[in-house]
Amino acid sequence: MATYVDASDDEHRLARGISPRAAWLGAAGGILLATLAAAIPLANEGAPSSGAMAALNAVTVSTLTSIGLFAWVRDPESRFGRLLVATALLSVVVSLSSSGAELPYTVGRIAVWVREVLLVFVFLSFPTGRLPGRSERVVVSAAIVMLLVLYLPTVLLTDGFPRLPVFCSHNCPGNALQAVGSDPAFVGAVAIPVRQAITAAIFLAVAVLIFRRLRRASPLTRKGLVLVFSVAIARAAALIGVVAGQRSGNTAVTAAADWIALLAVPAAGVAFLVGLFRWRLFSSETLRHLALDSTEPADREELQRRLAEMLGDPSLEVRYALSSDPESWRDATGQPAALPAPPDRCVVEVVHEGAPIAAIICDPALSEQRDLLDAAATWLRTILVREQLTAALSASVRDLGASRRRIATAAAAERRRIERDLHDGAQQQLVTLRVKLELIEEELERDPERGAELLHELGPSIDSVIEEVRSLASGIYPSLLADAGLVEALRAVARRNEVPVTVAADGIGSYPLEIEAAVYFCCLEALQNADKHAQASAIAIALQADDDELSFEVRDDGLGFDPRSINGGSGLTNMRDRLVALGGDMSIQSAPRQGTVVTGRVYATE
Amino acid sequence: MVRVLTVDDHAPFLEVAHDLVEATPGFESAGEEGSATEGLARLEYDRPDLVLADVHMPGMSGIELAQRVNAMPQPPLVVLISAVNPADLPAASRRCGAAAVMSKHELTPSRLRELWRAHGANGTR
Repeated sequence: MATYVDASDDEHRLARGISPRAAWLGAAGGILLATLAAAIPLANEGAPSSGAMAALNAVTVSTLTSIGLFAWVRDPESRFGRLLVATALLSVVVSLSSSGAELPYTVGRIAVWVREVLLVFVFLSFPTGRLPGRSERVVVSAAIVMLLVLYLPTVLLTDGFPRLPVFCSHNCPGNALQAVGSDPAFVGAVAIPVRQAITAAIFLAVAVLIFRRLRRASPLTRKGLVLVFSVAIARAAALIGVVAGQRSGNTAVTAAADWIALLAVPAAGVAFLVGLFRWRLFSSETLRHLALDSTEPADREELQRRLAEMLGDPSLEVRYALSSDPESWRDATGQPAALPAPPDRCVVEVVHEGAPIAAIICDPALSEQRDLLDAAATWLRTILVREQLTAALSASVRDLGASRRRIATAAAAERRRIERDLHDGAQQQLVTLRVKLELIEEELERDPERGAELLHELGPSIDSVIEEVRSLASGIYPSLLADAGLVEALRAVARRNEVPVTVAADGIGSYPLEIEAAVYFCCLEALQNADKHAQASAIAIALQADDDELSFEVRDDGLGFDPRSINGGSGLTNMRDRLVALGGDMSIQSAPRQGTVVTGRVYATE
Repeated sequence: MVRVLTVDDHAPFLEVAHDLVEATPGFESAGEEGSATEGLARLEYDRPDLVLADVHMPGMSGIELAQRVNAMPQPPLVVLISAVNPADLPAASRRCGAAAVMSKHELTPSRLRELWRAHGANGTR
């Protein structure tokens, strides 16, 4: 059966179960009924071995009641507990077979038949209370049909029941419900032999099905089932013995077989209990292992192996969902593998943030152990979520590392560029001026007027050097940005630009230097790109400050481009890296003929 | 008259070098070239007495130019000049056969005459 393991499970659980207090009340009721069941044979002086029968009845009723209530409280999902309690109640009615009065005896004998069918169902449906397969359903259906066709109708037709020495040895009460006057011959000649044969066949089928299930069971299932099935097979054999004894008329055999069959009922109850306890013991051991296990499995296959080992189910599989599409389930090796249908396997889905991420497929016997499945699913979820987070973190760290490296490289390249610019520009010019000065010095001695003229001509050359140096410094950090702040610097750039630029930056305060510089240069780069490529008629720069975020937008109405075709260019990559290093980001939206918007933001407080 | 060829990729410096050479008594400019390749081409058909060459030029450097000039028969004197401090120049600049390495801004008429007296005036060139 498929179960969904998530936080809201507790409500679901309590809805179908009974509270421990109700169970204790039920147990008290059971004791009363057991006493009643014991009293009936004792009340009948003619009953054979009344003491033994009384004891058997008491044991049967009390065992089945208590074990049924226990199972009902513990595993509310399972119908099994309720089935056992029903069997217990039916057993009280069965004890009426020891009565000497006609009506109770009749009712009791009918109850024997009904209980047999119920027991077939109980044995075949342990431990879930549901029949596991088609064969089981066929057998139970056959038993029910036989009850309805070959047993119950004969009650109206015969004057007595086939003798069962355990209930009465002689002077057995007659049939209180007989409708027809005499005993029709065909009942004795046809119905009874046929039903005896079919009964034997059904019990044989029960034994075979049980044996088949045991053989196919995983070691875990076998652990809990072996005792149950031993009892079931013994009981089936005993009932076949009863049928054989009745046919051959051998009282001793019938009696012996019948005692065994009756004893097997409480024995089965005990076997059920032992089975449940064994699983419960295993379950708590495994819970302990799961709770203490904190090592990281190396890969998916090891994860599956470890979980299979801990749960004692070699057939255990873990499947993974890549998305909410049911087609996307994969097994541990990555092959597509759909989830199996119940009730062949127990399927537990592991849900994270509302979507299934994995499922545990295991032996149906484990479906009883809700605590264990919950714990296993939680363990799996923890590992998978941790895996996801680690992968995301590594990716993030890698990206950050790459970004930092790019920034460092860009910074080094920037320094080289500055050095080159200084050398090739300002320095060369100053050197030339120096030599000129020397010449002018000599000229002044020879021809002062000419010398003064040449001196005067130096002025523009020096101005040009000043401009060279100034523009270089501005490329590093514009003085206006340093003096008047981001908004003024952007407004100045806007004024200087050939294409009209509007700057909307009301209410923007001042921020730390590196943040203002990053935003300034990003806007500048975006603006220069727009000037170079967009052929825009208007460009708009907008700044906005929220609680802890400064964001900017540079929008143009120009040609636009396909953002996938260009890799942003090194200029924009550089700008993005600077923003990322400050905890921000940048993005470009554009489409051909639809203009371009460069947006970015950085986390900052004023 | 000592004829001087100046080779430098920086045009304003070529101008001032021309003026400087002309202002030095006994020296005259044999021309200015904007690159080492052009300088070498000039040397095919013209033999100045002195070549002033910038160390850092795009394409062929002044150092390589000095090596090639000195491989020619009866080579002119080569003096390497640089805007960079000579101490920061690569070691090859001192081994390439140039007669001297000096800073550009040290270039004056008197230094020019000094250089010629020290390295080139002995007539064997």
